[in-house]
Amino acid sequence: MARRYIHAGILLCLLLWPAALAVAENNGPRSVRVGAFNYYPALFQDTDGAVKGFYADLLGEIAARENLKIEYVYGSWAEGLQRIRSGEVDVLTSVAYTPERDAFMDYPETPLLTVWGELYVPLSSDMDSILKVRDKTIAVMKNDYNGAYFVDLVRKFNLPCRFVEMAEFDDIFAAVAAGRVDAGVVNSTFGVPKQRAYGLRSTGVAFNPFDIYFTVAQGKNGELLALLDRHLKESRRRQDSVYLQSQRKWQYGSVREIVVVPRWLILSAVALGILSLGTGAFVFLLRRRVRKATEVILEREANLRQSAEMIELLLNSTAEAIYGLDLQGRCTLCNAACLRMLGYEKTEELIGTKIHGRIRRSPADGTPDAGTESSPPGRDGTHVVDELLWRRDGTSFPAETWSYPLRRDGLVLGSVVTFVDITLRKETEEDLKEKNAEIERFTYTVSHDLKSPLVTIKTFLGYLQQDLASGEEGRVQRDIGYMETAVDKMALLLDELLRMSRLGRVVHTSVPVTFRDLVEEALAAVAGPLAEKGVKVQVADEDLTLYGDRRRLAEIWQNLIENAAKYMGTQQEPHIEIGMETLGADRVFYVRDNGMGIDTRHQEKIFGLFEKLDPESEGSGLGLALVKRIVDLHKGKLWLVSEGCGLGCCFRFTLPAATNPQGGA
Amino acid sequence: MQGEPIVVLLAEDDPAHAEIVRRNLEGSRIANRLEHVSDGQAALDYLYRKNGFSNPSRSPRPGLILLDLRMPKVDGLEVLKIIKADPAFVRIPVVVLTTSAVETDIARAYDCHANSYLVKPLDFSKFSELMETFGYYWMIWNQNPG
Repeated sequence: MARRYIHAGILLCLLLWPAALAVAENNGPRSVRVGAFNYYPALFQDTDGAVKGFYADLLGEIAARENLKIEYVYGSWAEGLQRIRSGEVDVLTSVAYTPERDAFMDYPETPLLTVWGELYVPLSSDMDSILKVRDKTIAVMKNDYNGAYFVDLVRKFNLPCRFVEMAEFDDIFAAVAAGRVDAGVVNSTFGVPKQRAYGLRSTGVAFNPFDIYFTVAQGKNGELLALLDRHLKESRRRQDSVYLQSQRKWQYGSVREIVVVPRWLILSAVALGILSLGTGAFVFLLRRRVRKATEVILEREANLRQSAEMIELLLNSTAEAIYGLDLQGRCTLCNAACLRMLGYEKTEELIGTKIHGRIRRSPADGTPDAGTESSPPGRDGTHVVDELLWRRDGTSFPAETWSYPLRRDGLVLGSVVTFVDITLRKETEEDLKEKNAEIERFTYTVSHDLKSPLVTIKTFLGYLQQDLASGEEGRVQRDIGYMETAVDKMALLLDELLRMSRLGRVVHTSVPVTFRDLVEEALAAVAGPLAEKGVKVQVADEDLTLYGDRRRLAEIWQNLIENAAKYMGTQQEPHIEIGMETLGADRVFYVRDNGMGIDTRHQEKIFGLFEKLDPESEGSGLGLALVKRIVDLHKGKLWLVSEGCGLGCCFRFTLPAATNPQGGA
Repeated sequence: MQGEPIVVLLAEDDPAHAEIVRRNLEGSRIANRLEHVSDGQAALDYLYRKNGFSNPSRSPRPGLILLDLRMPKVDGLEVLKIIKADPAFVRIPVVVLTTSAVETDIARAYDCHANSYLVKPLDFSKFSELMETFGYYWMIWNQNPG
C-alpha cells in the first residue's frame, strides 16, 4: 500500500536529518583567540595542558552554539593585557574597568563576575585587620587592579610595609604558604577555592569590589563582544546555565556534575525528539487508521446484522413457504409460512430432520416417499405445478413447488425449496371449469335451439312462396302454421334465456321467510294448472325459517310443483306431497308426485338446459335447469328418486345457505 | 338404379324439420319410403322393434338412417353409438342431419362412425338442393350393403 511506504520515507528522513545538519554546520567555525591567565577557577591551565575553568565552560558553550573555535593564548595577566593591545588575542577575560584600560579596550554591558580583593595569610598568622600589615611583606600580582588598590589603601592608612609583585595568583599563594611573604592579595574568585589547597586563610580584609568583564581590543571585534554579552546575560539570568553551574562547581568544589551538553548529544536529542515526534505522528496515524478500520468493521458488522434481520423479516413475511436442504436432505432453514402450512409450531421441529420424508409421501397411503428425499434439483431447478404435501397431522394439501440448487463456487451445497398451498386455486379452477362447461353448454344449446326454428321459418317461407304460386290453399295454411310454431318457440326460448341469465346476476337482499310461506306462494302461482288437472296437494305441518331471496326460493317449489302437475300422465288421482325431513346434518326438502315418473335411463338428462323428455309437452325444458341453478346458488344438492315409468317421482334438495346462513353464503 | 325403394328412417324431434325432409324427398323423383320417429328412444325402439314397432311390415329395416343430434330422451349420438356397436345395424349408413355446425359435434359424430354429417342450411333453396343431392347420392349412386 502506498501510504505505508510514505510513512516509512518520512521516518527515514527524520532519522537522517540531524546528521545532514551537522555536516552543513561544520563548514569553517570562526576562530577566536582568548588571552588566558591563571585565574583559578575561572580559567587555568590544568596539569594536562588543557585550559579549564568556568570561563572555559562558558566560552565552550558559546562556541558550540555560535560555531566558534576558541583558542587560548596562555600567559600571565600582564602578558594578556599586552596581547590584547597588540591584537594577538581577540578577547581578554576578567578585565576590571579602569579609564586607562578603557582607552584601548571595549567593555560589554554585562560583567563576568563581581569580585573583590582579599588578603590571605597562613592559617597560623594572627593578621586579622588591615592595621596589622605594618612592616609586613605583602605579595600582589603585577598590574592587578586589586593589588594596585591595596597598595593605595595601605598608603592611605599610612602603614609602612613592603610589597612584592608576582606574575600570578598561584605564585602569591605559594609564596605566602612558603612564608616568603607574610600575606598576599588575590582576587576573591581565586582565593576562596584555592585557600585550602595552600593552607591559607582570609584575613577578613576584603576590599574594592568591582566587576570584571570580557573585553576586546578597542574598535575591533565589536560583533564578537555583542555576541559574548548576549550569552553572558542569558547565562547569568538562568540558574541552570552552564556558566553558573560551572562557577559553583569550580568555586566551591561542589561535587555536583556540571551538565555539559555536547553538540552531538543535542543533535541526537533533536533527532530523538524528531524521531519520537515522527513515531508519535506514526502512532497517531496508525491509531487513526486502526480507529477508522474499526469503524468500518463495526459498520460492516452492523450492516451484516441489519441485512440478516432484513433477510429474516423477508423470509418470515413472505406468503410463500421456504425451506432449505443440505446434500443429505436435512432441513437447514424454514420460514414462518412453511411452519404454518405444514402444521408445525417451532423451527426446531423441522431443522436438521429429513424433511422430504415427512412432507413428500406416497399420494395413495401417505407412506414416506424415499425417492425424492435427497436428490438435489438440477441446474435450472425443478418446478412441480401440482403435488401433494403432507402436514404433521397426516393430512395433505395440493401445492406448487419450486426447487433450486444452492451453489457456492460451482459446488452444490444443497437446495432451497419454495411452495404455495394451491387448494384454493384448485377449487377456483374447478369452479371455473364448471362455469366454463356450463357456458359452453349454454351457448351450444342456445345456438342449436335458436337455430332450429330459424331453419323452419326460412324453409317454410320458401315453400310458402311456391305454394302461393301454385295456389295450393291447404299447403299454404300448413306452411304458415309451422312458421308460427317456430316463432312461438323462439319467443319462449328468448324469454326463458332472459330469466336464466337474470338468475345469475340479480341478487335480492336476504330475508327470513318460512317454508310454509314459500310453498303457499308457489302453490298460488301454479293454482291454474293444478285445478285444471284436479291435483291434490298435501303440505307437511312442520315449519322452518329460511334466509334468502324470497322470490327465488319460491321458484324452486313453483317449478317442481308445475313439473309434477305437467307429467301426471294417465293418473286418475293425481297427488303431490310437499315436505321436509332431516338426513344427517341436513334439512332435505322434497316434492313427491304419483305421476308418470321418469325412466331411470333418462334421469341424468332432465336437469340439462332446454332438455325435454317429451317433445310434445309444453314449455321450453328450462324448469328443472332453473331449479338446479337456484339450489346450486344455495350450495345445495338436487336429486331425483323415481322407480321408473308410471311409478311417480320425488325431487329432493338441500339448501344449506338458506337453512344455515352462518355456514353458507 | 335399384327397383326396390329404400326405406329411410328419419329421427327428428322437430315436426317442422321432419316435414321439410319429407317434402324434399317427395319432391325429388327418387322413389323411397320415409319412416319418421320423433326422439332417440323411438329410433332405437323402431330398430329393435319394441314398444309399438313390433310389426315388421310397419317398421321395415331401413336402408339409410337420417339422424338428428339433439333429441329428447336419448340423443342422436347415443343412438349412433348403439347402432354402430350392433353388428345387426352397423352397415346401415347413418347420415347426421342437424342444425349444429359445432366442431365438437362433428368430431364426435365421426368418432361414433357416422357415415356423413350434414348441417341444415338456413336457406330454403339450399336445403332443397342438399336434400336432392343427398337423395341422388345415397339412393342412386351409393352402393349400399345388402
